[in-house]
Amino acid sequence: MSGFVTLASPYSMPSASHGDVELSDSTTNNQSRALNQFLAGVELKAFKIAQAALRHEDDALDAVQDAMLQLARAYSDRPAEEWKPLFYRILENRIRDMQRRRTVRGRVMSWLPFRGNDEDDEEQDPIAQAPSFDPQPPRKLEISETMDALEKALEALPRRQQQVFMLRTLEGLDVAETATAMGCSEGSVKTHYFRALQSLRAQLGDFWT
Amino acid sequence: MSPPAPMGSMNDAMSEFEKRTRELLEDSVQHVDGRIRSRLNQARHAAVEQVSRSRPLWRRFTLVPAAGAVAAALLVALVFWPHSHTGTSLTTEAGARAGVEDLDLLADSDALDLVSDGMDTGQFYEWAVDQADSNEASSTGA
Repeated sequence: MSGFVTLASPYSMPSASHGDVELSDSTTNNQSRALNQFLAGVELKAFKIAQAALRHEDDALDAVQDAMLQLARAYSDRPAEEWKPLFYRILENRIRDMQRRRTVRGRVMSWLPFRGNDEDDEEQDPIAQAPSFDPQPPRKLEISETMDALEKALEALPRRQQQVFMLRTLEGLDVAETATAMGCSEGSVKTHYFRALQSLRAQLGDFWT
Repeated sequence: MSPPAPMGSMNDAMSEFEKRTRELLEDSVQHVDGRIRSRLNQARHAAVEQVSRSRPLWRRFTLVPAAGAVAAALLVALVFWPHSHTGTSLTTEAGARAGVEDLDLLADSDALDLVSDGMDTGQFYEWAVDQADSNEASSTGA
């Protein structure tokens, strides 16, 4: 058996040190494929993390989309192993920008005498509004209630605690990756995570017993 | 309650609470509705397409040798252009002058008259030579 057989990881990137066009095209294709695979793996979790922070579906979608484009534009040539913390770093910055903008907009709107509610102006999706015919067995209802309680508890957490908890628990980042994604020290990550766990235990204890 | 393990796999030091929380969150991810999935799919394809469209920086430099060759050719052309331009103009001017003289000869009515008067061309040349010789003798004698 050949000793040179290697298994490439799905995110492994071929080297781009040659100048010939054919090779560079295949390099770009591999890069695109790897990026597509990476983004497909993180997009749903990223959306949930953004949604927990922004509490708005469309804003969360916009934040994830911006993070995807920014990663592709600026960091697609970086090793694939670095993509995850980079992606969540970009997403976090985007979320923070949107929160700041929302705060400013809220302050401005509070001074306006005749302000409309944007939510009322949006056309409601009839399919989304239609009643579900899916029966809710007791177990499913219980999970749904627990999930609602968890989402509320997560929303009530301070932003940094929430972010650390989501990145570590849902996305499975380790302490170092979480620190990179959040732009803080590993010690801060541990502290935020510990406090988040304490708060969630205190709020959700009844649902977990 | 002990704080989470600082490093290593999450599962190693996960409490029941954390495990259950994680299961719930992952379950909620699986139940994201179709509209959101579709939008995320579109966003992902837009991002990947951006990578396919953009050429890496190092690839852009593969055109440098070709650009250098074109620049060198232009430089050579510019250096030699004035000389070739002058040569062409001199030749053209000489040709143009010769053409004008030919036209003068053709348009010379005296020459045509000479032929029409029946004078032999040979006689004319003899006469011309005699004229030249006599002019020369008179100038030296003087």
